[in-house]
Amino acid sequence: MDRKKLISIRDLQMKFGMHHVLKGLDLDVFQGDIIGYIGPNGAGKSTTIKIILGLIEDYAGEVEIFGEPLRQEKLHHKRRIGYVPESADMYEQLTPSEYLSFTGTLYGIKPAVANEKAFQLLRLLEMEDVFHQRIDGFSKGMRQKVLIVSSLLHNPDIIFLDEPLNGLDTNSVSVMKQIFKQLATQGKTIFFSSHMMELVENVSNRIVLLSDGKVAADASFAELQAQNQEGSLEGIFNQLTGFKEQENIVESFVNYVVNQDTKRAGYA
Amino acid sequence: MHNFLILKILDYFRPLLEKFQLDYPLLRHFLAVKLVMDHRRSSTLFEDADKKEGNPFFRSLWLYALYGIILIFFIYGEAYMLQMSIIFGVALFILMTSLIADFSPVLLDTRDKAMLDTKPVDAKTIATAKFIHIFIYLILLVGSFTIIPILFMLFVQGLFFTVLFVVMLMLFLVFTMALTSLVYILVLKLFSGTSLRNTISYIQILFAIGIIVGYQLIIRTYGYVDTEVMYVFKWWHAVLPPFWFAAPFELVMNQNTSAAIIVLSCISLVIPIAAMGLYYYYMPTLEKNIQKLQVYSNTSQEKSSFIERFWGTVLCHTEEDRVYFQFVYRMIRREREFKLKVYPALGIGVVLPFIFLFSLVGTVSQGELADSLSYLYMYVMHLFIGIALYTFQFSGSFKGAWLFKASGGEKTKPLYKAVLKVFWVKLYTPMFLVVATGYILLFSKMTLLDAAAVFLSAIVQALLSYWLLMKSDYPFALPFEKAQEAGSSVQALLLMLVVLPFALLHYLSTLVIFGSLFYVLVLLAGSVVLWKIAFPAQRSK
Repeated sequence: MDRKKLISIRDLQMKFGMHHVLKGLDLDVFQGDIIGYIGPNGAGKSTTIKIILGLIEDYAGEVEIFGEPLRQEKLHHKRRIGYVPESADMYEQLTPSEYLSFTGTLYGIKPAVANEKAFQLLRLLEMEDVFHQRIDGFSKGMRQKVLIVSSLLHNPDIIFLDEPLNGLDTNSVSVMKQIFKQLATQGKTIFFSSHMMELVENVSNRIVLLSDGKVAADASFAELQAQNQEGSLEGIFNQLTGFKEQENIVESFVNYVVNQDTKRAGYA
Repeated sequence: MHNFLILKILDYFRPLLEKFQLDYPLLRHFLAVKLVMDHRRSSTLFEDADKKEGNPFFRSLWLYALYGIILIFFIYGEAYMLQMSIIFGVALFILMTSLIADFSPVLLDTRDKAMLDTKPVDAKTIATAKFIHIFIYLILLVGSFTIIPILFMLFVQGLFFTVLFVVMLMLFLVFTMALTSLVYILVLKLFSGTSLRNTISYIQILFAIGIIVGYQLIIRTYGYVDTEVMYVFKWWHAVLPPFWFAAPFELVMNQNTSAAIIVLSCISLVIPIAAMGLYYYYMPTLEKNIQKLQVYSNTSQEKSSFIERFWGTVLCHTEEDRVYFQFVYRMIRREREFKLKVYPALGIGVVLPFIFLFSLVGTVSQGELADSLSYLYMYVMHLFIGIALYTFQFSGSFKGAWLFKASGGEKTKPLYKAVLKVFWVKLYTPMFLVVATGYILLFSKMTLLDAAAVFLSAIVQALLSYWLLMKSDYPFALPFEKAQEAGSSVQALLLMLVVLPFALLHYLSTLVIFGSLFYVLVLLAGSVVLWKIAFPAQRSK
C-alpha cells in the first residue's frame, strides 16, 4: 500500500489540570481512510480532534499533518481541512445563506460562489425552504446539516466530524452514510467520532478505539470480529473497554428510579 | 446584509487597512455578520423570536444624548483646561462604564473561537474586525453623548474649536479602547484558569473605582466650578488622561505655551498612537490567551462556602427554599457576565459614600463633620440596588430556564424569594458592612440605630425594585442582550430616585426624640408586610 500518510501522531499526551486525558496516543491517518473513532465518554476523542485542528496547543508529543509538524502549522493546512464540531457552535442569528457565505469568505471563497454552492448542497439535503430562515429556530438535525455543509464548502482533503449525524432523521442518516463513502472513493479522508456503533460499523473502513487515553484497537470491522469473541461492534466495544457489569448496573439503575427510598435500592 | 452605512464608510479606509496587511474582504464580511447579528435579537424560551428587528443598543442612545446636556455648562468660557478636562472626564466615565459592562463580554468572547480558529483566517484581521466592531458602538455612544454639546460648541466657540474637539475625541476613543484591551492582554497573560476569571472581575471593579476617584480628583483640582479659575499644573495631572486631552485646547485657543501645556498636548497625541501600536502588536496574544477563559482546570468538587451554608440554614425554612437559595447563590458566583455587570456598580456603591465625604472636607472642619448629619450620604450606595436586582433576570445560559416550566408547580415566587435573599446576603451585606463601619467610625453622631435604618431601607427598596423591575417569569431566563433596552434603564434610573424619600424620612426621624427608633420599627414592620404581600405563605402539601 502506498497511500499517502496525511497525519502522524506519536506519543500524544494531554492534561487538563490534574486530569490526564491522553496518555501516549499513536496514530497514522492515510488518504482514503474512513476512520470511525470510538471510545467511552471522556476518553479523549474530541480532545484528539481539537489538537489536530490546532484548537488546543499545550499538548506534549509529536503531531505531523500533511508531512509538516503541527506546531509550525500554517494557514494553508487549514484550507485543506473541514470540521464539524460536536457542540453546534454557530452564529445562530444568521440564516444558512448568510452563515455559509460567511464561512466561504473565511476559506477565501467569493461569497456569491459559496452561497450558490451552499444552496445546492442544502437543497439536496431538503433544506431549500429554510435557506433564508434564522438558524436559531432550527432543530438539531437541521443545524447539523448546515454544519456539515459548512465543513465541505471549500472541498477539503480531510474532514473531521465530531458526532456528525447527531439528531439527523433516518433518511438523512442513510444519505450521509453514502456521501461519506463516496467522498472517500474520491480520495477524501474522513475522520469521525461517534457513539452510534451501527454507523461506525457500516461506514468506516478503519475503526480506532480509544480507551484510557491510548489506542486500544485499530483495525477494520472484519478484523476486529476475527480477533474477538463478540459478534457486534457494541459487544467488542464493551469487551475492549473492560465493561462487564452491564446487568448489575441495569438492575440497580432501574431500582433507583422506581424506589423512593434510595437506601433499599443499593447496588446489587 | 452588506448595506450598512458604516461599512460603506469603512470602504474609504480600505487602502489604509490593507497597508497593515489585513484581509479586507474578510474583515468587511466579518463586520457585516456581527452587525447583522446585533440587529437580530435572539429568541428566548418563552417567547417567539421577535418579529421586529432592531438593535436594543440603538434604542438606548437617546438616553446618552440626554446625559450629554449636562456638558453644555462647560462649553462657555475660556478656561479651557478646566472646562475640557471636565468634559473629557465625564466622557471617560461614561465610556469606561459602558466598555466594562457591555463590551468586555464582546472583547473576551470565546464562543466563535472554535469556528474561526479552524479556518485559514488571519488572526490579525479578525482581531482588528473585533476592534472596529466595538469602536463603531463607542463612536455611536460618544456621538450621541456629545452631539448636543458639539452643536453648542459650533455657536459658542466656532468651527475651529469644534473640529479640534472631534479630533481629540477620536484620539480619546482610540486611547480608551486600546488601554482597556491592553489591561486584558496583561491579565490574560499573567493569570490562568479560575483565578483568571476572578481577577478579571476585580480588575473591572478597580477600573470602575479608578474612574470615579479620578473624576473627583479633577473636580477637586478646582475646588468648585468657576470659569475664572486659573489652571495650575501639578505633576499628577500627567497621569490623568482628561488633562492630556484638554491641554491642546489651552495651547491652541489660549496660546498658552507653557512647558506643562506643551508636554500634556504631546502626551495626548503620542500616548493614544503608542497604545494603539502596542495593541496592534499584542493583539494575537490576546486572541490566543482568551482560550484560557474556556479551560476549566478545576476538576475537584467545589465546596459550598461557609457563608452560603450559614445563610441557607438561617434564611430558609424549607428544604425547597434552601435548594433555590443555593441555586441562585451559585449561579451568580459562577456567571462571569453577571459579575461584569453588577460588581463594578457595587464597587462604585462602596466608594461613592466616601468620595462624597471627601468633597466636603475643606468646606467644614473635621469636628463639625463628625457631628453633622452628613452620614445620610450613606444612602448613596443604595443607588445601585435596582440595577443589581434587575440583572438577576439575565444569564448566558438563559435557555436552561425550560426546566422551571417543564417541572411544573409554582416556581416564580420561590425563585425570586431566593434571588432577594441572595442579593441581601451575598451582594448587599458585605457592601453595607464596609460602608457602615467606616461611617460609624467617622461620625460620632451616627448610631447603630441609624445603621439599622439604612439596612432595613435597603430591604424595603429591594422589595419595591422587585415589583417594578422583574419582567421575566424566572430569574436567569433572558439573554443579556435584552438588558440594554432603553425602557428598563429609565426604570432603573427612576428606582435610583427612590433613595431620596428614604434619606429624607431618615433625616426627619432625627428631628424628634426616639425618632430613629420609631423609624427603624416602621421600616421593620414595612419590610415584613411587604415580604408577606410579595410572597404569601404557600399552603403546605
